[in-house]
Amino acid sequence: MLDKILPYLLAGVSVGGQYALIAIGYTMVYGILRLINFAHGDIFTVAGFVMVYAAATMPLSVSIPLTIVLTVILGVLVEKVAYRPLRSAPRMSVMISAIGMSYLLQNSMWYLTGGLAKQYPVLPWISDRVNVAGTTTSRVTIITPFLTILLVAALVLLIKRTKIGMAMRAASRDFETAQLMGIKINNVISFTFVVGSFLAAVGSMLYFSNYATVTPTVGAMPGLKAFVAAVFGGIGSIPGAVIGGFIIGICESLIKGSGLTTFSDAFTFALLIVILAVKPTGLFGENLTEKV
Amino acid sequence: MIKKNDHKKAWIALMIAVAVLVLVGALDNLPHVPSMLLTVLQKGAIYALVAVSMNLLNGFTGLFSLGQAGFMLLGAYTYAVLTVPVERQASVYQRYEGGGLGFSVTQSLGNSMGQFGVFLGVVLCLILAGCVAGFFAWLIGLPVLKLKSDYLAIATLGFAEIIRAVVMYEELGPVTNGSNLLYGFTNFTDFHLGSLKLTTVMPFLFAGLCILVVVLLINSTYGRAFKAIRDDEVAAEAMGINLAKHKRMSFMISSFFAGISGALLAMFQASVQASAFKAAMTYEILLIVVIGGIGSITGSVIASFLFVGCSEWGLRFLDNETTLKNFDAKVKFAVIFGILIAAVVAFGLLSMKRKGEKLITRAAQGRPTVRWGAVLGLAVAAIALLWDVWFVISPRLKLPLLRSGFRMVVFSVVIMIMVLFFREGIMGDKELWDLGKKKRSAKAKAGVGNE
Amino acid sequence: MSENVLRVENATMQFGGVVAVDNLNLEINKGEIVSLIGPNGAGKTTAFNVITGVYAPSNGRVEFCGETIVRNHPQGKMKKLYKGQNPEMYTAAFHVQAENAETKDALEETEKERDSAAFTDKVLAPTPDVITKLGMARTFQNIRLWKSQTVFDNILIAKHLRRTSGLFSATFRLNRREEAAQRADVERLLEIVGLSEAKDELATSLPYGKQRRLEIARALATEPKLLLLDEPAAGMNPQETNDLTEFIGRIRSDLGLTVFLIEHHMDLVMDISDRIYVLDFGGLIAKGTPAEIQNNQRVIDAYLGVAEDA
Repeated sequence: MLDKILPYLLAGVSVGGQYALIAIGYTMVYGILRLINFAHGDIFTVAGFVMVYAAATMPLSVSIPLTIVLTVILGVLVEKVAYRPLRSAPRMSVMISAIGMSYLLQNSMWYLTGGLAKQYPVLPWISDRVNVAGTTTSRVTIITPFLTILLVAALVLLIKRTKIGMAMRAASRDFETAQLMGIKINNVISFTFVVGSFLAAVGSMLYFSNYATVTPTVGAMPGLKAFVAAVFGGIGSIPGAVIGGFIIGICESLIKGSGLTTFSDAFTFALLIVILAVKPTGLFGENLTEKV
Repeated sequence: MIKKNDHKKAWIALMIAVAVLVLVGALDNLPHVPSMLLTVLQKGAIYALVAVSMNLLNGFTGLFSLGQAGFMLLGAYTYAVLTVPVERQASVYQRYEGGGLGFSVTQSLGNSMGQFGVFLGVVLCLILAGCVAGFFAWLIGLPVLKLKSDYLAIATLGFAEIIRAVVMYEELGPVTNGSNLLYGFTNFTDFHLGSLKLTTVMPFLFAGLCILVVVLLINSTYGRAFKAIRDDEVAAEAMGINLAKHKRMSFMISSFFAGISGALLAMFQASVQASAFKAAMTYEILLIVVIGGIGSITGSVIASFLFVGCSEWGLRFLDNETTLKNFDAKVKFAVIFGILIAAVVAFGLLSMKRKGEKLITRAAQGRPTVRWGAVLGLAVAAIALLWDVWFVISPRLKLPLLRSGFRMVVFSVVIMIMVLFFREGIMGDKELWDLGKKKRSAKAKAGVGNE
Repeated sequence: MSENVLRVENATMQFGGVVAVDNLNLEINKGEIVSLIGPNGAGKTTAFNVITGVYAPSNGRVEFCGETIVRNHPQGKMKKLYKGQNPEMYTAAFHVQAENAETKDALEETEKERDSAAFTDKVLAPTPDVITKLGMARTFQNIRLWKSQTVFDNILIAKHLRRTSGLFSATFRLNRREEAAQRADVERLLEIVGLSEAKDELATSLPYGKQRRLEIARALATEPKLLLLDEPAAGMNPQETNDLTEFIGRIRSDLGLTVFLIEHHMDLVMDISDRIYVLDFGGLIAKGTPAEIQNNQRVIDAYLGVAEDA
């Protein structure tokens, strides 16, 4: 029985790690700006495309850092263009701007790439097949969870021990007071997007090593699922987002394994509904009461 | 006094409505009318209804829901499944033995009552489509409406995806045809009055009636209650308005009309497939609502036609690789392009001036005196003009950038500009008939005594 | 014997570890004007919120016109955190510890008469709209008018709860008579508060004092028996405060309402109140007539202060 489940379990842990990396971006931005960054999934996709084009003309040792840098720049640009001008606008407007930005990114990708699916370059060593407990899988599947946990640990250290980390925590507690206390809020927010986009870029490299075709809309579903992971774990909580990502990845993979593939996506949303109905603040979230 | 005014307004509205229908009917039957125009009109009317239904929920009740596509899907499938003619069911449901309902509402009624029966059947099925959507809205509403705005949006989005997955589920194939195309059912081309074609009149008629109902609702005591919930729900609750009940009511009504519009869309396309009703469809509707103005029904209607017109028709040229014929054509193009750029810059400068911010005040406040947005805009305009001149001089005849997909990019950019700079949309929260009224507050402050 | 309109019994409101209202007991009889005063943060608005159903109290009971409308006891998380008094009183486990059997029986009888749920765990935590429908209306400390609506519509919307027509008849205008009657009533209320001329203005375009009057008119539109006013004179100058004092008096005399108000303007309070309750740190420190309160040392120390020599 175990050897039947094992490939799915491994795949689940792997994709879960990728979701976790994307989910962190969502949860950090929401924690500070109270904004669901709909464009985050598209930034993930752009990272994939950049890699495709970069690897076609440059050696991997250049294209990998280049992809990361460009993705980060894009993330920060999106914030500056679509979210900063609407800082004082009602929540609905900002959300609409996020949706509009996502729409723009998708259409731009479609235009620039001609709409055909592109093949992701094979990253050596990562994509090698390895033997684990009786089943063969690509090394990516093994590496992803470890890499994820490593990155998350580094991030948590950053948030707990550094000045900018403290600034981020302050901003997510009380945005206005943080500003009044002299925290340069624009820098904090830009930094948040830098980190989020960086993790999305890494996540994309791992993801596309597994699912090697890149299309303009490929990031929409993982993006949405990563968001659900963030909500599930408690929006604003990084460990929560990570755990949420892994749980969703594993469950989704197991469902696929049991044959109900059409429902693997629906499962994620059903989970979302359940958590919102039972404990809207998620596993590790906090309660807020409104003063009347 | 008030009554007479209302009656007069109602009569005028009725006349206008009849005139529009007659005009559209004429377009249906006159020769040499471009079919693209009819397509835009039909699709525009249908999208107008969805946009209005979304506006009812988002704009008038303040509930940010992203589930419209799911309800449209339910309505579309309900309608389609009920009206596929019996003899075609075998071929339509070919992948599922014995698929299909075994009867067709429009066929049965048509056989007994002729054209009128078909019409009656369609009306019946449309209402059923709306009811199915409304029923699911009721189901979903129970847990979901208590959530705060962002969470409500994601929850409804999630439900729409779940609904889509369920409809595509293989086991339900005999009824829904699974993930395959559903076609053959009664659609707009099946309508005719004798030899008079009514292909475009029908969607206008149906959508128009539904929108009329929404207008009536918005101006009734319930509509006012919805607006109160949007403006301040704590106060609304304190004044005796039950939040759960009214939110659910708004949600169900909005979904009812979304379902009907889904059915109309099915009739327009003459085929339905669940995979088309993705979140992207909801985003388009949302953008239409924003462009038209959140809280304005006429805004949604206008914006729908604009949106459909541009995406189907107006901006099509942007997708075609264009090679200009000769030097003269190039000059013409360059001049027009240059004028356009100049106009945009002028407009931008004018609106900045109107905002009235003085450079000095900004400096005193310690804020950057340079408006980077304006600088960027001017830089882009300058580059565009330079390119324009270079293009005329160079031997090239082919316009750059124009190829498949450019239309949507331009479109998205326009939408972003609207969202960032024209958040009010075209109509803001006013209706077409409110535009004549002068601003009250200025008069009052002058007239009524000082406090 | 004046009939009792409101009775608050052992109401305690605790947020996490903070006790905002501590074992509050008060009663208001028909036709009275009663004030609730105390320093900022004393728990006055919280008390209002408990009475009107915005919060369910951690413990305690509220009775309106003889019927229990709110009732709760510490449960779940609150059971461990509860710092207040009488945690068992509104549960099935409550037994009257009395000196002798006679008193115990008599007490049980009164309990049973007054509240047939006296010996159960039943929780009553209706939403504010239910309580408003029963006849209690309120205004807010920070004005909460409906910003996109006109003055007229702000009051008209408050009549929605008294409609008898359903969604269908309202949408298709089958309810003309009811609508006309409600509109006439709004006109009447506008006259009473003196805002008839401004009726088509946007509510937010009114000056502050008039906005407060509008909020009161809106509350009156719900046809209440008891009107709760949360700092109605806040931000008003002495002239306006005088007008308001007179207006509240008229609400009682002309409209036959009972008024319960929170206020900091002592002239208004002492002028108009029949009785006053004083709250400090969530607990009742004094109650009585204006004269009694003015001479109460505890109140003076906590809140009123001593008048400076002229």
